[in-house]
Parts: sequence; C-alpha cells; structure tokens
Amino acid sequence: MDKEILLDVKGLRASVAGKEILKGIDLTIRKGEVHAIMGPNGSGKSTLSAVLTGNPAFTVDAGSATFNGKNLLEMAPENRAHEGLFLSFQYPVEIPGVSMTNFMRAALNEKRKYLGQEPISASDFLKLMRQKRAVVDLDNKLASRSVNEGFSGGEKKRNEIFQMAMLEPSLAILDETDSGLDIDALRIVAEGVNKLKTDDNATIVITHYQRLLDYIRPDYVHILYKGRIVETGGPQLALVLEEKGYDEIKRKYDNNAAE
Amino acid sequence: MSHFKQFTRLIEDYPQFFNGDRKAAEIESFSQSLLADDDGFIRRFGSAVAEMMKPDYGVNVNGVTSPLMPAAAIRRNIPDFAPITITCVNDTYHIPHLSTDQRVKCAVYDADNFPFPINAYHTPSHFNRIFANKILHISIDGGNNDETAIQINNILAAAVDLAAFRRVFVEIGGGANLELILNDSSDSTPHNYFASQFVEIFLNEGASLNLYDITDTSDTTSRLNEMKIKMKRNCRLNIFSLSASAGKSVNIYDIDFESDNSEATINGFVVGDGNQRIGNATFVNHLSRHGKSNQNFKYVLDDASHGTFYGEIFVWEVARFTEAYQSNRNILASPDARISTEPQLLIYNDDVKCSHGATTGQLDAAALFYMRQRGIPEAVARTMLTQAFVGDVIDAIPLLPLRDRMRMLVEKRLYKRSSRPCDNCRMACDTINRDSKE
Ligand SMILES: Nc1ncnc2c1ncn2[C@@H]1O[C@H](COP(=O)(O)OP(=O)(O)OP(=O)(O)O)[C@@H](O)[C@H]1O
Ligand SMILES: [Mg+2]
Repeated sequence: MDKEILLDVKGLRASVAGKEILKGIDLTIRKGEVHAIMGPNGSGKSTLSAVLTGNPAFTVDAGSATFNGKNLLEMAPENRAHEGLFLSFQYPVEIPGVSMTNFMRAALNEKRKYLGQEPISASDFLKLMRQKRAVVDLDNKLASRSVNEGFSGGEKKRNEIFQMAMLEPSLAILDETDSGLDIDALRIVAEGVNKLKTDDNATIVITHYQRLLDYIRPDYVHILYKGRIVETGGPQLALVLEEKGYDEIKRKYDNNAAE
Repeated sequence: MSHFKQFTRLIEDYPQFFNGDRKAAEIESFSQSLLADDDGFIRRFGSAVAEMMKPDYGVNVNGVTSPLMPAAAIRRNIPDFAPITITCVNDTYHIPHLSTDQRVKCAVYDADNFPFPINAYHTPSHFNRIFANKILHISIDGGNNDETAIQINNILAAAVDLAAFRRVFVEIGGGANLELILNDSSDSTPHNYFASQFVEIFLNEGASLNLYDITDTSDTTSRLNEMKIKMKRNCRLNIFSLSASAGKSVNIYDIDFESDNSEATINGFVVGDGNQRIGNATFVNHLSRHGKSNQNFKYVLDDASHGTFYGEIFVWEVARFTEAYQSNRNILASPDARISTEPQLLIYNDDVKCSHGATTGQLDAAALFYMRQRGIPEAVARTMLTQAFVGDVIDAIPLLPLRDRMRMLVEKRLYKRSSRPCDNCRMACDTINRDSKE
C-alpha cells in the first residue's frame, strides 16, 4: 500500500520581478521517499524551493501545494517551518551579530511553542546542540560564532545540515548541499542526512551530480527544465544524465515547450 | 518664524514671572538666538520644536515643590550598582543627605542666588535659562581617582499638562572619575509633558566622565535637552545616549576640547516608532592639540517616526594632530519612517585625521527570510536583527551593570513590538526576567 502523501503540488506557476519562472509544476511526495531534482542552471530548481518555503520575493500565479493536508501557500514561512518544512539553502545567509546559539534556541523554542510545548531548558538545549553537532562533525567553534559569518563554503553547508538535525523536519529540501564540499565533507554530510532519514520523513535533493546520489539514494529523479518537470524516472535517470548531459533533453523540449 | 509663537507663548503667558533686569536680559538673548539661528538649530529642529510646544502646558511659576515618590525612584534601580541617587520630580530636585567630609557635594540653588555664571549656548539652553528656578549643583573633589557614581532620576508626574525646567551644573575635580546617569521617565498618564533640561559639565585636568543619558518616557512627552561639556587637559569623556521612548525629543551634545590630549566618545542609539520625532545634534569643538573624538549614532525607525541627526566637528586652526571620527547608521524599518542626516566637518588646519560616514537601509531581507524559514516569526526576527545592529553601541558601555541595564532596556523596547512577552522568553538575558519580577 502507498504511504501517506506529505506534499502534493499541482499546476504550480510562479514568477519573480514580473518574469514567469515556474510554468506548471506537479509533484507528489510521500513519507519515506527521497526525490532528486536535477536540471540545467537557471531552470527554476531554487525558485521551486523558495516558493514552497514562502520566500516573499516570489509570487505564486497559479496552482496549489498541500502539505500535511494543509494549504501550504497560505501559510507564513515560519509556520511552514513549524509544520516540518526545511530548506538547506543553496546560498546560506550570513547574519552578523546574531549568535548561532541564540538563533537555534529561538528557532527551536518557536517550534515548540507552535506545537504547544514548553521552551527547552538551557541544559537540555546545550546537550541537544552537542549531540546534533556530532551528526555532521560541526566544529564547536562555529556554533559559538554569528550565524554563517565568515564560515567557509563547506562549513556553511555543514551548518545547514546541523540545523536540519536540530529541527527534525518532515520534509527537507537540500538545494545543492553538495556544492562546495570536499570529498570527505561530502561523505560526512551525506551520511548525516541518511542518519536523519526515517519512514515518516522525506527529502528533496537538488543536485547537479550523481556523486551525491551515490550516498543519498533517490527513489525518483525529476528533470526540471524551463520551469517544468519534463521527465521523471528512477535512479538510473541520473546516471543517463551524468553520461549524456542535457543536450538530448534540451533538443526534445525546446521545440514543444512554448514560452 | 511664525510657528515659534508657541515657543515664545510661554513667556507671554506668565508676565508676572518676568520682572527684573536679569529676566529681561535672558528673554532678549533668547529672542536673539531664535532670530539669528547661528548654529542652525531652528533650521534643523524647528518643526519638531514647534510640535513640542503645541500643548497648553502649565509652568510652575510659583515654585511649588513636587513631592518625592519613593516607589517611582526605586523602580529605576540598577542591580549590582549603588550610586548616589538624586530624584527630580518635575522641576523639584530631591538630593540625599551627604556627610560633609564626602568628596561629593550636592546642593540646590535658587537661580537668583547661584554663585556661578548661568550660561547659555544654543537656543534650548537660552530657553531653559528663562524658566529654570532651581539649579542642581554637583561637585566632585579632585586629587583622588576613586570612582563616584551619581544617578539623577528625572520623573514627570503631574495632574495637568506641564512644562518642567531642569538645570544641572557639574564640576569634576582634577583626576576624579565620575559615572553620571541621567534617567528620564514619565508617569503613565496621558498628560502632555514638556521637559527642558540644560546640563553643564566641567572636567578639570585628568578627569574622566562616563555619562549615560537615557530617555525612556512616553508618547505624550516632549524633551529639549542640551549638554555642554568642557574638558581641560588629559580628560576622558564617554557618552552613551539612548532615546528609547519619547513623543518628541531633541538632544544636543556640545563638547569643547579646551586643552590638549583629551578624548571623547559619543555612542548614541535611537529607537523610534509611531509618530515620534527624535533628533540628536552634536557639536564637537576641537580647540586644542592632540584631541580625539569619536561619534557613533544608530537609529532604528519604524512606522511613521522621523529621526534627525546633525553632527558637527569643528577643528580650529590651533587644534593640530586632532583625530575626529563620526558615523551615523540608520535602519528604516517601515516605508513611512524617515531620517535626515547631516554631517558637518569644519576643518581649519592640515594636521588632522577626520572621517565621517552615513548609511541608511532596511533590515536585510535575505537574513529575515532565512530566519523565518527556520521558524522564527517575522517580528522576532526583526527584533533580533535590530539587536544585532546596535550590539556594538551597547558593547562599548564600560561598566558591566550599566551595560546589562542598557541591553535590557533596548531589548525590552524592541520586544515591545513583537508578539513575544518576556515571560516566555528563554534568551540569554536574565536581567529582563529579574526586572520584570521586581
Ligand atoms: N530575484 C530574482 N530576480 C530576477 N530573476 C530571478 C530571481 N531569482 C531567480 N531568477 C531567475 O529565475 C531563473 C531560475 O533561477 P533558479 O535560481 O531557480 O535556477 P536553478 O535551477 O536553481 O539554477 P542553478 O542550478 O544555477 O542553481 C533564472 O533565470 C534566474 O535568473
Ligand atoms: Mg539553484
């Protein structure tokens, strides 16, 4: 029997600065699944993550998105987060003057408040931080600095997965979390993601390369091109892309993909 | 000048108060300063002042004293900090009994019997001089560098709309160190208050002063505050100015480097919302060599609040080897908020290092979304980013209990706007909880 549907996106269209980027996205994600989204630069992968998480820079023009049976597109970004949606940003933001500790404590306590729970005690919080840092081998020093400030590219990506571990989302979107990671870090971060995997949560992995999918095995691979999911297949689709590139896809869909 | 009818109306309303030659001369010099506007005060702050003077304030012409309300004073105590506390209710100074052998002397004089010159510099001090009946005189003996801490709690509390005039004269002896806290508050009635204050401070050779000028009043309170500070050789001056809450408020900080080798830092922070009008003007006068000054003002303006910053650095020809810096950074948190910032560098010799800079922007939209994506509600995220913006101003406060106190005041002020009450907050600021439990 099919598992429960976590996210159901239908006919989603979205634009930024008056330009239409997403031109009708359909995507269904069930508990326990891993979906990979691939596609050439500028095809709209990050836009899809931004629209799903409620980035106010983007405008939804049509379509629907249901998350946990609730209308996702009507919710404030913070409530989408409380409902269990997490985005590992392609470009994590530096926030000088806001310490990682205060940031994580605020995030965690707001979620607990939303769920009707008491704020976490100081000692439990520190224990949790220590425990979750270990998931991605994040340096203690980084946790005591301002959010992402002066972090290297790889450290920022590790920090994203650390936050994911802290917040335990039911749906995590990893937008090019592999970019900027060295070989060892890629393995550590991917293993971290796998450790967080359960039958009840799901992951969307946005990537350009097969090597990440060697660690995080997808159930489905989607190809996003010019704002549409043009092909969906199993893990072997990524291997085909790795070998042949996007030429064939572009040839096939440039003709009948009306602007 | 027509909108200054209100400004001068108070004088016209109380003719019986203005008999005698001294008053006539003071009124004359006030009119002169209004008309000439040599320092540009009226040009820059005139519209705010006209707004301030609109209500029909009563003036305490008969010298009636306002009694001390202990509860009001105690609430303003700072943990781990025990200064000499002076409380000014409206325009009545209540000074503690100090033993005669103490190095600190406090006295309240009638303006008519004040043994020192009653000076005026900018329009607000001219105005203040006309009405101020009493002068608080504080002196700290020199020759000993123990710390002295004095807190002046200025409280506005009355049953009618009221204008209060306060005047303070401070002399710090050579080598003495003073922590001086001026804490302005208002009762929670809807009465319109106007507070005029002039503070004149003299630092003798080697003296140091940390001055905290805190405005935490109400939307129906207007303030016109001028401080004139004169420094001799080798002095250290540190001003922390916080405009946390006031309907309309203007502060003037005018500092003279009279002799060589002195240093002054002014850190200012303004939080404005609603229709508040908050201004600061600095006049930093380098009249001697090897002086160092540093000004750092930050404004966070929300709703339809307006801020003004005028920062003047005057380096005279004799003032060689001067270093003078100024920075004004502002955040406009709403599309209707406005800031007008005007740096003025007047430099009359070549051996100086000077710089100034002003920036105005919004809270970082990318950071705001990043925080919201992690589940931090927008209002809380804005507050956290604002706190981060002013962190360095607060970190510059030298004395720990006061630094904590300022951080608490700022946080309390900022969180007032977000949906998160302090009780549910487990952030690392136990001072807030301590305070709210009192
Ligand atoms: N804020 C913006 N203003 C204008 N155009 C934008 C904005 N954000 C994205 N775009 C445009 O939308 C298109 C899709 O961008 P998006 O970042 O979603 O692509 P992507 O698939 O994630 O690419 P990459 O693989 O390079 O990360 C691009 O043409 C991009 O220039
Ligand atoms: Mg992208």
